[in-house]
Amino acid sequence: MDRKVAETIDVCPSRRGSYLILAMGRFVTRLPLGFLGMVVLVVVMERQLRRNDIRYIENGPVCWKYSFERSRSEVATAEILCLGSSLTKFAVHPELIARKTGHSAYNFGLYGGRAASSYYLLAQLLNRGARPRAIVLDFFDGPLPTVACFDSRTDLHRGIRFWEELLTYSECVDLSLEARDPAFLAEAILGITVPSIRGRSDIRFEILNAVKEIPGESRTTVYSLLRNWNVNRGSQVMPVARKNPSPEPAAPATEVMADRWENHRLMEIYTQRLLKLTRERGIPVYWIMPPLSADVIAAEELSGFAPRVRQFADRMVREHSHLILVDARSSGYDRSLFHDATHLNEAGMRSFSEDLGAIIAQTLNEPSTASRVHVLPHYQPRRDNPTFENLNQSRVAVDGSGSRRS
Amino acid sequence: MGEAMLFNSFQFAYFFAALLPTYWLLRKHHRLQNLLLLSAGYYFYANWNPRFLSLLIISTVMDYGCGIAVDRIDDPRKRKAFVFLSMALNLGMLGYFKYFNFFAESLHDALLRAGLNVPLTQLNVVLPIGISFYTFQSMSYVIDVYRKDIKPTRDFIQFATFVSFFPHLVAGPIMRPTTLLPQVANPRRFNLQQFYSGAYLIFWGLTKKVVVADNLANYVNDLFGRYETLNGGLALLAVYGFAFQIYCDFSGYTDAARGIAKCLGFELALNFNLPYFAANPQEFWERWHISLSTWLRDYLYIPLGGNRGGKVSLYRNLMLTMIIGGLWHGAAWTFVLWGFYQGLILVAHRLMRPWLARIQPTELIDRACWRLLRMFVTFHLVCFGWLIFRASSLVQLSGMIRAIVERPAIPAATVLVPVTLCIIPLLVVQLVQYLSKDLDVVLKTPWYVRSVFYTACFYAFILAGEFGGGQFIYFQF
Repeated sequence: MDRKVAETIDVCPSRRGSYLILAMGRFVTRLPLGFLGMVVLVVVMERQLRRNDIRYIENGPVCWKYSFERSRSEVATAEILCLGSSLTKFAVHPELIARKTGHSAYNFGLYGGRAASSYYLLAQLLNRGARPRAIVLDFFDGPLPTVACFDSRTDLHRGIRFWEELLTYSECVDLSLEARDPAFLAEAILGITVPSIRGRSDIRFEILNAVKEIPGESRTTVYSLLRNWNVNRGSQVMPVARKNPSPEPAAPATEVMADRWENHRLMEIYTQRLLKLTRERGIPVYWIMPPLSADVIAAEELSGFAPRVRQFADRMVREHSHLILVDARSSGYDRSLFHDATHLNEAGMRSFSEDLGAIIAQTLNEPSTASRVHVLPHYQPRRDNPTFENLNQSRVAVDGSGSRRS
Repeated sequence: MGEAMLFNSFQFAYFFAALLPTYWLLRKHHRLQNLLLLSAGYYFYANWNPRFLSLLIISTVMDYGCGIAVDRIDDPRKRKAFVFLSMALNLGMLGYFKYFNFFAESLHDALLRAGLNVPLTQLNVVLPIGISFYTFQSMSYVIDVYRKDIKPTRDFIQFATFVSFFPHLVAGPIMRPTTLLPQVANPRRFNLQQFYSGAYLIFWGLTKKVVVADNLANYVNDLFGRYETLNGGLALLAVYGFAFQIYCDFSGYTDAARGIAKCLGFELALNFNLPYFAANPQEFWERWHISLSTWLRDYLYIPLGGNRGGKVSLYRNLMLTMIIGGLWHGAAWTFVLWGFYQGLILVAHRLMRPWLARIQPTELIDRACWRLLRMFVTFHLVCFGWLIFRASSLVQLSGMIRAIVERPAIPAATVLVPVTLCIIPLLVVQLVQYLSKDLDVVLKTPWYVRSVFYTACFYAFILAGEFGGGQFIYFQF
């Protein structure tokens, strides 16, 4: 309110009300009302989108979202936390681990999970009061060796849709600082704040499907995945192929593959941060290297990638006394145990989880005498295991029940 | 060499977010404000390629010096010499970087046809971004001083800020010294309404670029790439698509540039005024890339004699101006041909003007229909020009024309629907602007209408925006 108006009000109290209204009116007309109206409309729409994101979210992001949400609800129930990538998600069944160790477990593995995602997920769990007895995880940073110029920056930006489902604002700042990438910070914060930005590609995909009248196949898959994770405590159980299983051939080995571990500076930073965090809390960490198909192993050896990973792993084991390495890559798992070139199916998962559970039980009970590098024995079929609901069965259940919301 | 800092990038968002508050914090220190703008301009330009910043600085220093010299010297011959020095430097830079290879190659081809194989040197140089814009602007300063239209500035910082003012540095609008220099010289005051209006222009400009232009670009590039096998319907759709792509790309950039300038307290010239609502080619050029067409008019067409020397010289001047204008857009024969074509339709319109005036209806509805018809014809004449402009070679041009003429068909719905969906909302907004004769009509609607409009734009931007889109088309000129 300007001085003139104020003076007039003092002089003439009876007119104070009308001058106040005048001043208010002047103030209101100076506001960007159109913009403010838009903000209100956008907030309303975004709230609706946030509530109904299950209607458009795709497989990858839903996996990260699921683990993020479960990290809240499973704080009290999980004593062994399984983190890492899809290798863990497809290879470790929490019930089998619990049966061997006597401690409840939960699988928080993420599609395309990174050392950084494991770190932040673990930090979130610990901040919410989780007191785990052990951590099981894999570090599989980087995609299969098909990308020509792979580095941590490219990797971050490619996975931004996933990160937006997992990170909090402060974690975004932290990750951007570590990655020295302000563009990631801006994109991720926008994505976290505005669901339509985050789910842009998913929404576009669903709209296009609706326009083209393509039935909601992707929705069925998402609901089936959710159901499968729910009934299997976060792990994903893939069915065993009935005849002549033949995993997809591994991508051809390239020189890039050998370098990808070293070029990915975030991988080392977050591996160290995670190991530091767990050491401070006195939590043993089991770094698992799940079985791989013979094609992938051959490609990794040929390119020089595998020796570099081993070298790195050995260094980490030397540096961190609470780190236990479980190497199952050469455990002779044949093709019938794989869903594809790198992911185990139900039979492979059972065998691996049993063996892993035994190692965890042994090392937890006798930590001082146990070895810290374990090479898993050769595969042996297990017959006495309980059966689990696999993804095909989940799909049938989802289709049959008609209630798709898990 | 990096990427140019695009207005629709996070990098620019950071840059502007840091600059804007600092700039207004310095509002009581005018000289510091200008220094900040100058540094921002140089940073903005160097972000693409720091080496080429030297060109901008050389042009600035030379024209600053030439401006003062022209003002101080009374001898007309010496004054002229300084103007020629400035023109030689600016046009020399432009010629070296933009046209040398083109002319050398063309000469080589011509000699080959004459049976002479003379090897001519080809330069391995990159075209500095925005060189066509800032050289024209800087050159016009010296010419204006020579014509005594303005007094030269003695303050080098002011002049350098005028040349390197980042919102319009790389793709215009080409600002006249008479309008921009006083704005640099005088202190700016923060004006809330101007700020809102600027924010709106940025928003609307980026929506045009990201939603319309970049989405259309996907279809247009694909269709032009398949010119040999296209049917006529798709070829026509490619041309219509390109007409709106280039319009939204360039006018989107200009709107954003004007909006950014407004937020900084500056007013840049209007560059586009609903060009596709023009009812004749002359009107089109009064509505399209206005800053270039008026520049060409004032610094080329009128000095050539304009319409003062009879009809033949008028037509010659028109043709020359448009051909040079075409060549300004790029060093390729298709641009020369495009300029020639634009000159031709301008001349044809001049010739037909008396006849058109005679058959002009008098009744209101008849006149409206007559205008609609003329708009339709003008739009298609312009579209044919865009076909020449967009074609990467004469072979592609003839291929597209053949497709349209020889293989007429209704385009497939899979292309027709998305292209139409990109264009129709834009046309609706423009129709309202045209009927209300007010480009800012949106800003004058009630707040709830604006809210809905902004929300629609926001969701169009997010959900329909094409963020993998490339550079602005006019960056290459």
